[in-house]
Amino acid sequence: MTPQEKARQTRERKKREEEERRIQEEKEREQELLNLVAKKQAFYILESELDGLYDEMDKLAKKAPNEPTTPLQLKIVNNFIKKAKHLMSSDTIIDEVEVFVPAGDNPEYRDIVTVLRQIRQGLQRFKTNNRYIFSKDFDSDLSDWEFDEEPPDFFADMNKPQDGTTE
Amino acid sequence: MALLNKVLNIPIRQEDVDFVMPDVDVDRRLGIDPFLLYRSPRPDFQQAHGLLLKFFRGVLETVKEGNLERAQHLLICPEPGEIGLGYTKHGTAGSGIGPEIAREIAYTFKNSPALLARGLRHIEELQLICPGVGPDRISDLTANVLKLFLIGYTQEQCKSWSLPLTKDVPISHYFDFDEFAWRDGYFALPVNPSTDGPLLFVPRRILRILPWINYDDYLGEYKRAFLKPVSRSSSLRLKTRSGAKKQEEGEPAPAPKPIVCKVTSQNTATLDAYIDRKEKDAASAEPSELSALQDRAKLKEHAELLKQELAALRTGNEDAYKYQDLVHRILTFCFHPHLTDGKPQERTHAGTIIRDLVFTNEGTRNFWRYLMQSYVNMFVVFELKNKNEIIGSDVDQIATYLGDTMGRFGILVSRTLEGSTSFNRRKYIFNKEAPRKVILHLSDKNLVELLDLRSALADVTDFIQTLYRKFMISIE
Repeated sequence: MTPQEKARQTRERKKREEEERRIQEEKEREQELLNLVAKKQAFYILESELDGLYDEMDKLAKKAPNEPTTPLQLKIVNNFIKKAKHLMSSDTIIDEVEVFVPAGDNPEYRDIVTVLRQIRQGLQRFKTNNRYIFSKDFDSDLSDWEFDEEPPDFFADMNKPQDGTTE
Repeated sequence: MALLNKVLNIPIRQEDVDFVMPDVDVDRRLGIDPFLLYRSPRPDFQQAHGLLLKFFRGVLETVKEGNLERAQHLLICPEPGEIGLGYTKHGTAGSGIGPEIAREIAYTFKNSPALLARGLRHIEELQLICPGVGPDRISDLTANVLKLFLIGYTQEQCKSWSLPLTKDVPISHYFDFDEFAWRDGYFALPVNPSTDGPLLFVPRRILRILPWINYDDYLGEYKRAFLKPVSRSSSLRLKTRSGAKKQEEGEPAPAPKPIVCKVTSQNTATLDAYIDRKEKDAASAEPSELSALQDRAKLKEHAELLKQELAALRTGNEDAYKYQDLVHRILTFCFHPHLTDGKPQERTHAGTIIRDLVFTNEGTRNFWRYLMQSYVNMFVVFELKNKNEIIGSDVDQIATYLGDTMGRFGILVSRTLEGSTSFNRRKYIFNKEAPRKVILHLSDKNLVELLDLRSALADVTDFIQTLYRKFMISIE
């Protein structure tokens, strides 16, 4: 191979590697944006769910604060708490919120309202700490892209069973 | 009061055991409430309740056949002096059901076709239809009809607590269901040193001061059904004698018991409505605690003694039996009436002797009922390890024992809770098994906390429920 041919091959190889790098970076950026979209959608889902749930529990707490919740209400509340904790996993206050374990005695409405209020405030903090995804800049960045796939379900891997530790 | 343990110099106290410690000189002021047999989750207690009804059905058959003499004979029961319960102020000899009361019962049914056709859903209903029958006679009748059941229970308790049994002790007037007749016999039983007569133990959890179904409680139903308030000017109003208490405006005069009983026996719908209500509220029917077990000073003293014994025990095989015995007493003291009738047992797993205590779950509060429904826990197993360091196989041993027979909730008890091995292993078992198994872990420190709660008359259920919740949250 002549030195010119070698140099030409090297140039082509570098060009190819750059192109591959560019495509890889684009894919990563696309995935990042899709994940942010998923996060934003998850926020709106929780916000909407919280509106209805809080109003309902607050009404019941005002009527009968000491009354225990029904099993169905408790299931809905616990599912909501799990989703909220999954979304706001870096929020130390929400991290301390726990699901209710009835063990024969369902929690009272007033306790449910207290927890929902904490989550409501957590969502406000979440919006402040993630200004970018709620800003026009994000919408503008999104408009520059043509996505091949839908944003993932943010809560999809939430219920994967933990293995626990053997020894 | 001369309690059996003091008289026989036995190192167990009332707080440690599941049965009423007989006062050998005077009856304890409590009675057997058959309703507590009915509402018990234990099959043998429910079977005992079934036997009571079977007995009464037999009596009613003889009334239907017109053989009133035989019906009366069947109903005559002496006061069962062997059990040492009742309302006698002095001594242990009460009245039982004599010929007059037996006659009254038989004729009540004979004179009421509605009642004869209906029968009894609970024998305590006799209080509401026969004026001469009160709580004491219900208890006496129950004790006599179920004497064989109480004999079996007594023998079991003596075995559990190593109490002395004397062979061939005469027992009079027990009911033989095969021959449907009263019999006398000889059984291995403990003996009352004051009288040389037999002693029968009664489970604390079937005793109440007043039965759940009782006359005073029924009166409200009766008044709602049959009595209406009358105004002061009404001619229907009874005239009060001078010096007698004046009736409040609109309040009917209290009906005497014979009238109430007569009206009730002719109008069984009201009786049924009352019984339906009481059965619906069965979860609230709880045994009456002995007054000695409500005395905070005495409970605290006993708790301190148990704590001292626990602190003095060394870890290891040498004190393993003492540890089992002490934990048995602590758990009985703390968990009665939620967990009762703890039986120590030994089994072998891969060449290792494992000591358990198996308690019956009475399902008295929501948490214990939740365990029954969610984990099939008719029993609760406590596996005892007289050591500090728990290894993985210790947790595996109790896990293999849990299942459909023993339930899927169990408690490991060891001297300390050092390290994370126990928690990690229990978490692994929870996640691996289907259906899930939950194992909690108590240490000496937790037993001391339970003793403090119990001696302050607090309910230890909350402690275990909180422990359970913490475990479930920590594995989320």
